[in-house]
Amino acid sequence: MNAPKLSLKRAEWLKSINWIGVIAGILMIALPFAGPWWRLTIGTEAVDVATSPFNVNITALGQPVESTLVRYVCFGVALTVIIAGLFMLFASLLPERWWSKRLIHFGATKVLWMVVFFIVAVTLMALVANKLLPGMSPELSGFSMPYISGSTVSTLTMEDVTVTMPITASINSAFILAIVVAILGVGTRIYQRRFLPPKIAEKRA
Amino acid sequence: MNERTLRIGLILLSIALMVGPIIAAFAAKGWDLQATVMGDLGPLENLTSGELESGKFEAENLEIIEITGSLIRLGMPVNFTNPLSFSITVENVSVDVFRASDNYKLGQGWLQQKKVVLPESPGSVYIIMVVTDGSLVGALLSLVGTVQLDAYGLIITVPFEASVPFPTTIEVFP
Repeated sequence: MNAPKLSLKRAEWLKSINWIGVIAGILMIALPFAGPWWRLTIGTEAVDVATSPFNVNITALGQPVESTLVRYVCFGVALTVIIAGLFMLFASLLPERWWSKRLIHFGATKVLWMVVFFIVAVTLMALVANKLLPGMSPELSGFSMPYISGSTVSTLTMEDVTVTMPITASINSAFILAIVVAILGVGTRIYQRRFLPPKIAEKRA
Repeated sequence: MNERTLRIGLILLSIALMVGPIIAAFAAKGWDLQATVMGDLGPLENLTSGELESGKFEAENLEIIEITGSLIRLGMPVNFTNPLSFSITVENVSVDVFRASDNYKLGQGWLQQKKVVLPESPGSVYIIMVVTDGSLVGALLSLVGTVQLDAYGLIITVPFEASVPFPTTIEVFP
């Protein structure tokens, strides 16, 4: 008598799982380890910037350039996303619990905001570099850098010395993964709100 | 624990994850603003401090390599000390050769072959020139042009100027 009851319960539980949230949670935990989202290279290896909200690697003339503040802040961001991913995972596996809605609310839009902030920051940086730097001094009048992705060649003139520097920017696959996670996160929240099985919604009410 | 407590807890967690690393970073660097934010600029400081300008090109004496009719093929070693903390490649040299007395253009010169100059080390490159006037013995030649250096894909073009006397004795170097 007990076995069918147990399997019925199990079937009900499996049916109640927010699978979008489970996938989003797992991907959120993996995201900080997926590598840089965006890369900027000046020359061949004169300056190489490989960055994501979780890690900023800058190499100048073959040697790393470090900022303690950036390193710690990136660690904090990575920890936030991992914790949010764990919350999403637990809340999606146990959607009938009273805390699940709140935990999904905590994690659902974290990556979305990171993606938005990242695009805005990179675009703003290129905008400032292209529109403001050339006007600041005659030496920088030939400076230009690509917006998010592409390549340019800048020429800087300092007295008699001219420096020609090819600049290349590219988006990496980890950024595409971040966009997927952001969409899944939003999807998880929508599912939790609108498509939750009626029984669970009643329990909550 | 109720929902309100959880909500407050999550807000506090967000704040802690945002502010905590910033405080930890400053604490790790002894609350020194510059050391925490900027860190170590490494070799970039070399480029911003104008060290490159201290790397001078010094022309040595001209050597006659070959005389073919009115064409004289000249060679000239040029010494260069790399003041930077990384290797640079002398990619190209392009010079116009003038007779110093009246600025009459006699010919052109170029780099024989590329040369990698090691960090903070001297190096020597060889410039080949072809001039068209044979009546130059003892005359002062003026060389004006540019040198192209490659450092990690950055092409640095610096001016090159030298005054060298034409060899007083015609001695052909093989």
